[in-house]
Amino acid sequence: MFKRVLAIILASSVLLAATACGSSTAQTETEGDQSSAPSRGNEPIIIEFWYAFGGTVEENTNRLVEEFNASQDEIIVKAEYQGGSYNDLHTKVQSAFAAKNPPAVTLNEITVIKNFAENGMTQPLDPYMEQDNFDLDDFIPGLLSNTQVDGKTYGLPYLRSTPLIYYNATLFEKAGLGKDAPKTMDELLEFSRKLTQGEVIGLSTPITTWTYEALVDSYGGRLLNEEETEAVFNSPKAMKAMELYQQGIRENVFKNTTGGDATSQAKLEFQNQRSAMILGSTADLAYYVQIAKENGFELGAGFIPNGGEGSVPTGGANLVMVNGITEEQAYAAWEFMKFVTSKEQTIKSSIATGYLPARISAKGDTVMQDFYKEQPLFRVAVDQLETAIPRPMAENFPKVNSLLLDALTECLIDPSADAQAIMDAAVEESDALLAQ
Amino acid sequence: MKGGKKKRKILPYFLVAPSIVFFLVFYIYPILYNMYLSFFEWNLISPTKDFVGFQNFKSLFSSDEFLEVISNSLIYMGTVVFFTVIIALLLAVWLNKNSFIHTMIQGLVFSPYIISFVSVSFVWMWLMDVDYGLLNYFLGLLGFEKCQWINHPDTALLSIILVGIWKLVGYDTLVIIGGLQSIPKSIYESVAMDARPSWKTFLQITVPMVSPTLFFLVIVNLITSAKVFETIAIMTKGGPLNSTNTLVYYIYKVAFDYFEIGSASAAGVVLFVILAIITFFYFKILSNKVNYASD
Amino acid sequence: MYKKNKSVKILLRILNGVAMVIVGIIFCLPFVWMILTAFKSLGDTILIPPKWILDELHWENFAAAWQSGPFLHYIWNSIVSTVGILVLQFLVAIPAAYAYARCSFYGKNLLFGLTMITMMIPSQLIFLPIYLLMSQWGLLNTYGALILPFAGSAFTIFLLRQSFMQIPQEIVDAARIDSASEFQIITKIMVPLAKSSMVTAGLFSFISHWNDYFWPLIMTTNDTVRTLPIGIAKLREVEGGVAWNVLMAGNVILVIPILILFFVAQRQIIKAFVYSSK
Repeated sequence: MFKRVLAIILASSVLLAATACGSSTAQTETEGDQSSAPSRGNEPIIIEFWYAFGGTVEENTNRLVEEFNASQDEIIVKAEYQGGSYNDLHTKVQSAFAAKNPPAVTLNEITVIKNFAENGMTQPLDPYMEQDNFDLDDFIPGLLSNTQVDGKTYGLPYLRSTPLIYYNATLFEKAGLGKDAPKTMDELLEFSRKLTQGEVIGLSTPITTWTYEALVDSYGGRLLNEEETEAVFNSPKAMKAMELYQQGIRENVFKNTTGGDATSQAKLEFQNQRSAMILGSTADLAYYVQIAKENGFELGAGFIPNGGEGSVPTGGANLVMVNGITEEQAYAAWEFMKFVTSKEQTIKSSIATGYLPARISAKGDTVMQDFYKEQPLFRVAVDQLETAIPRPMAENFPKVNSLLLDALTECLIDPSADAQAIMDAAVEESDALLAQ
Repeated sequence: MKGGKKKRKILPYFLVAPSIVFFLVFYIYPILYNMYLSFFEWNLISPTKDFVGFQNFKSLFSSDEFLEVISNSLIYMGTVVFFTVIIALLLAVWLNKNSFIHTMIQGLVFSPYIISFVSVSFVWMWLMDVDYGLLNYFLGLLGFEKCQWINHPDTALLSIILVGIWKLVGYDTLVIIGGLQSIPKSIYESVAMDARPSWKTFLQITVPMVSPTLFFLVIVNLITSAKVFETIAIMTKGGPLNSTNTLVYYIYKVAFDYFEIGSASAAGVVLFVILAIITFFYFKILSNKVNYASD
Repeated sequence: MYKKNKSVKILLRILNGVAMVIVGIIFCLPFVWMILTAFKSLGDTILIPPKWILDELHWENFAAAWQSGPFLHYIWNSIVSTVGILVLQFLVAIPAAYAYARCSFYGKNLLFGLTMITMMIPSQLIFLPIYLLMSQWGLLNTYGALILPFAGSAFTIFLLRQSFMQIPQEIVDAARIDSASEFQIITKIMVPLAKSSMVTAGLFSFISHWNDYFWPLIMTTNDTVRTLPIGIAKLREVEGGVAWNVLMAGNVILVIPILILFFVAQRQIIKAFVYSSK
């Protein structure tokens, strides 16, 4: 009768719960360790490091964790993958924080570091730095810009990048342009004209705000003012970037792609040798090198063309320590962070992932120099760091970013559009958001 | 006997109890929590939430972006469901034979349904490539101009709709084939006596006989298309210029790109209400048109 | 005249066949591309238009995909969680569907309406409170977090109810006269006659949960119960360029179980739709 049905349902639920509990015992031990700190000296302190991205980044992360764990007995770090984008990672960390069970160390993409810090999710590293006489002098200054919030240090550079211009040296030669990247914005346009023939277009321009920011900064303009209270991407210098874009599109020597897939589509054009140049991140370098090799063309990489000032934004993420963890965990976290950002490790990480080495001394180290001799293109991004400037970190920047992207799209889909008016409108809306 | 009757009276409650418990815990509670959050401003990390009453709803409905999102969603849902069901019906009638090749083609038509979209997004990028894509190639052969597909706000939604239909048609086709096969042959035989053109047979007999199936598919497709997310997250991220921004994507973006949980929750409430209204009307209509053996 | 008709017929048949092949290609083209790409070299993967004829088969892509993570572990987790979901869904849905289909009780329509409403709710809306709940109950990183939230399947209840409603009352009355218990009625009459709906619901559920990436990602912070789609996603989400060949190899691995299931059971599945569509 129905009693039997009930019994079966209850039994299966109990069974299920048992399985659930069974597989959770392993986990609860770790969870337990995170909330009640065992005494130092008896058992090792266990902390979790949450990261994003698979591939070489994951491999490198696992290597770092293994080497760290092997090098001492006090601390065991567990690295856990949390998704394939910084967004996924941030979401998970926030949810875990809300559930009062966050990891001790994680990454903050450089534009959110201020948000997290001001909301109490991460803690300043200054006290730990003082204790250990740890200073930031050896870190490349250009990379420190997005680690400071309100005068305190909240992050250490870990996987950082800059934008570069990639070009097809083989097509350059065919067009009689020599082997070097265009050095100025004027050259960029000129080269594009010469390169656009037959199926080939000079420059692929995916409509994204990061590449646009690179151009704006190069011209000496900015997206936001220094206090981040106003948007200034409609200033005369910033608008030069827009003029360049619109000009190139009108002449059909630049080619746009838009939408979520914009970057992928543009990359495909370049990889298929249908465009001769493309702006991209250092992170793309290793991949392009291999594609170029397999498809028989020579790859070149250069500084973002200089529009007058030649400043360049950076990208990537910093290591941060989560707030609200115990003293033991903080100690362990700090030790791990020091290890990861040490000269030896930053060299290994840079070679493995293609991201920038964080320290000045790393740049000059023989291992690094040898690597650059073998793969000269990897040197370009590091050299460009001399002129690196910070990216916006304002709380409402994601929304402003959306507004900018829409404005960009409008201006570039129809290159005869009144760019100044469109940008002015976007700036007005952005100011309202930034004032909040 | 009396004991039996009493047992029969409370029995149904025990039968539905487990399902109700699960629904309350894993659907109703979260939706109520969602509604609760919609009255606050919160960014998920700060320990305090600010009560703002109906402010979130007011901002939503006065925002052009949100109104466009609703309109995009309704257009997407309506168009996808309409064309999917019709195409599936035609395909089902055409492919409804038991030969090996028919079964093969049925299987192939079903294949988009079983793969996650990520696996095939690259192909769609190629198919919709403006200069070298297959779709524009065929448009060219037919004498049309190149379409910008996902590169232009005027055509991006259409592109997403196309993908949506492609994904769903196979499932509907198979279900309809099943429905067709349950029409007693005797009905066709009795009609074959009069000389009717086959399209009349189709319209006056086939379609009414599979109408219960079609109704079922319409609601299932409406729900599935209301939840569209993956395709948009991969191909367009809501752009260009908001033309493919639909409700679930908008909610996700507002919550986790902008950190505005309250606003996202309010949008979630709106989505839920829209779907509830649709379901309500659907069941009102359905209960009138379909008969069951036990009635 | 007779000959003309015959040749026209043959022509039509050929055209019909060609049309079918074209339609088949349209639908499975991306699928075919996926399989081909799994065997390509990296350089070939980015070619537009794609290469359809391969010079050599790069089986190492499969090895690379397989070794990128604990795939065997992921596959096991996928099987456990998907099967667990299906089993629990049926255990919960069968009694409920029976009650909605064949019993009358106070509040029936209200409860059924409640059930239907849950079909409307996408997981992006509700994962946060469920995540917090699971965390509180210590169920994060357990199969419980992957299975329990889906135990109630309105879709399954809906389909089963339709089938149960079609079973003639006479059969049930006859069984009652033979003093069959409710349990026996459910298990010996209702369920066997609704096999087809169960196949439909099961298939629908299996496909969506087998391919689910979002939910397992949110509910797990480590690899203990992580499922295959996450392992595959790792291949795609890399900074820099996507190795489409390795990624597609991973996707082929992901889709094989479903394919096997489907092609083995295709005729059965269609038969299932025959009844459940009423």
